[in-house]
Amino acid sequence: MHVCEDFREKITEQIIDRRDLENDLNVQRELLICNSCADFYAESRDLIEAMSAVRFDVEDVQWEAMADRMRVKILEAHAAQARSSWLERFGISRWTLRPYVPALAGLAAMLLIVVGVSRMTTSLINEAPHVPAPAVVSHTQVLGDPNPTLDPVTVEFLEQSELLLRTVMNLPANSTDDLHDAQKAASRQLIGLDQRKEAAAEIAPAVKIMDKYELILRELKNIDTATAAEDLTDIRKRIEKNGLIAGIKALQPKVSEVESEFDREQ
Amino acid sequence: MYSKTNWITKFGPVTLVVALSVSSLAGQSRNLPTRFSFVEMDEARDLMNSGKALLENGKYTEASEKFRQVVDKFPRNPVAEQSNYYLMVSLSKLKKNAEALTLIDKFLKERPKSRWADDVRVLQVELSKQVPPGLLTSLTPRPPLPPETQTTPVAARPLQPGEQGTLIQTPFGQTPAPPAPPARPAVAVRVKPDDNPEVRLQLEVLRVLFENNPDRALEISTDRLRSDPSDVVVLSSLHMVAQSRSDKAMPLLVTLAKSPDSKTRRDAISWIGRSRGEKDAIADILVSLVPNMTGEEDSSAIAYALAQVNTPKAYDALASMARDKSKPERLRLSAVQSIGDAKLTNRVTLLEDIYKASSDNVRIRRTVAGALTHGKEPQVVTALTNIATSDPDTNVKITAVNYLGQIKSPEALKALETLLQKKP
Repeated sequence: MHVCEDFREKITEQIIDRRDLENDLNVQRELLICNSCADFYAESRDLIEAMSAVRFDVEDVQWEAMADRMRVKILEAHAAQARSSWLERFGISRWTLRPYVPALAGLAAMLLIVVGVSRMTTSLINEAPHVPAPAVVSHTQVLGDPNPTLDPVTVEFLEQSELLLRTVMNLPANSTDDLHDAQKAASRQLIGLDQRKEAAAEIAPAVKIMDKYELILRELKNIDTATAAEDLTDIRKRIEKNGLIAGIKALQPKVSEVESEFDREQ
Repeated sequence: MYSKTNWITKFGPVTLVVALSVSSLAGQSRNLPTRFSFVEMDEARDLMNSGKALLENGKYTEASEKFRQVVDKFPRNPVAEQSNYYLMVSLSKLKKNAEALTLIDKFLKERPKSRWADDVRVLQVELSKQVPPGLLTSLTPRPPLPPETQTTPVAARPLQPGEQGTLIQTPFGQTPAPPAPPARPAVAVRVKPDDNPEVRLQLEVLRVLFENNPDRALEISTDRLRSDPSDVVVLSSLHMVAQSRSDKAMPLLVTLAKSPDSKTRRDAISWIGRSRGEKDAIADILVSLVPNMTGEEDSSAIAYALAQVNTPKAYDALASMARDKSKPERLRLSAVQSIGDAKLTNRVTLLEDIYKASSDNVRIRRTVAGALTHGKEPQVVTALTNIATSDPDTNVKITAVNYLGQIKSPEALKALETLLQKKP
């Protein structure tokens, strides 16, 4: 039997993993049965495509620039190595020179004084221009805007949203207490929703899902106990039809298989 | 004597009139399911639901027509108020604000106690961009008024020798003024998140104020947070703070980034990353906040915010955090992930440097292997092959092999073949 919610959760995982569902007969059969699931499938696939349509290519010009910088870096490193090892080439180690350091320093100081005085007596016109110390150069260059991702607080918000929707789907028919709790949670979520929408503004599918979620929250908040049964039925139908639970789940970052295996081993 | 034709002629029109009037009233009230009803019918609800489906699919004109039908045909149905609200929303989506505002005024006059009245009021502020008189004052925190004291007529008397004070006029002459009550400390105007109508209205008022006078909005926000550091209205408006062009915005966000509450801290950090202003200065602020990060979960917020700044300085800061063995592991891991997701000329080089600097930490080396595959640079295969060949930890080697397998390029497959040829 086709159960929309279960089917959507199942295909969400597979869409995220980018498995080939076009040739999966079981999935295709289910999609033929249920139009809303077919819509959900198409939307989810677009969402994942949009998230993954990120250009990682590096242009040839940038590769050449990188290669140039690499060559310069190698040459600099080579020169630095050559400078540090010239003493060793003459068989003099740093430790053998150590007792003579004060005497050598004195000699250098006297030399400096002599040179300084002689320079003062000669013309100042030929004074060498001041060369500022070279600043630390970053080799990092940004090639474009960062990939749109959700901030940690929005991810947390979506986790809570998913929980609330699951609660609504399973609310007992006659429990006014449970309904009241769900309404309180909906009120709280509604307060934070604008900020979260703004935080996810660059991820259009996320905003679209949050727009639909807002309507559900508003209705849930305003449910009248007199019409609660019908209102809840309508709300549940719309949660299912819009694939809200699976949609919200798809927006949350997923731990990769490799990572989870590793964590198990730890 | 009585033919069938006569009977039909007499009772037919009456029956017809009754039937028609009943059918037109059918949607006004909710049809409760009975034991014998096979299909529960509520035309108004069906119309509203079809309107909602259209609204969700962006078909606002058609949606507004459905909602209007409910409002016009079934004004007494329980779903009429909800449909009225959705009609206003549909009109606002169609940029018919004037019509929506007229409906709002009418609704608030006719149904001030409706469950939907608060949502309608919020919509009113949103569409009119005007704060109704009295609402602005409700935004500013005030100490509660002292309890009203019983006023008793006092007889006139002069000040006693040595007595200090001022004389006030009474109906009976002059008498010393009573001592002023001790000043009450300002008490926070605490709005509980569950007090939804008031909070949502205040949120909307603050939003409009941020659009019109950001400095004043920031002043009010700061005052409110002084009274109640967990003020839900201000904490739900941090995006407005970050987007305002006021000089007071950044100091407020930085203060909140040091809040003892984890969510507030992380949210403020994320919004600092997206604030207006000089990007490198923002990166410096974020780096300076690292020592204040007490919770493990703060790390991902810092890394996220620095990645949002998206400058070489920000990424260099992330790289140095990832290499720094004295930094918390979670921060280092988040930094690696952010660099992995970035679009940089030297992404692979930065990740390789981090890998080399993490000889002590298996988890970071493994995360680097994963982060390498977030890009498609040709060096990724070489870097992963090196890890798969020479990492001292078998798990990290396996991870690198796994990721090499996911790349599926000819170079990656060749690297895997070469690895297979190596004798264990």
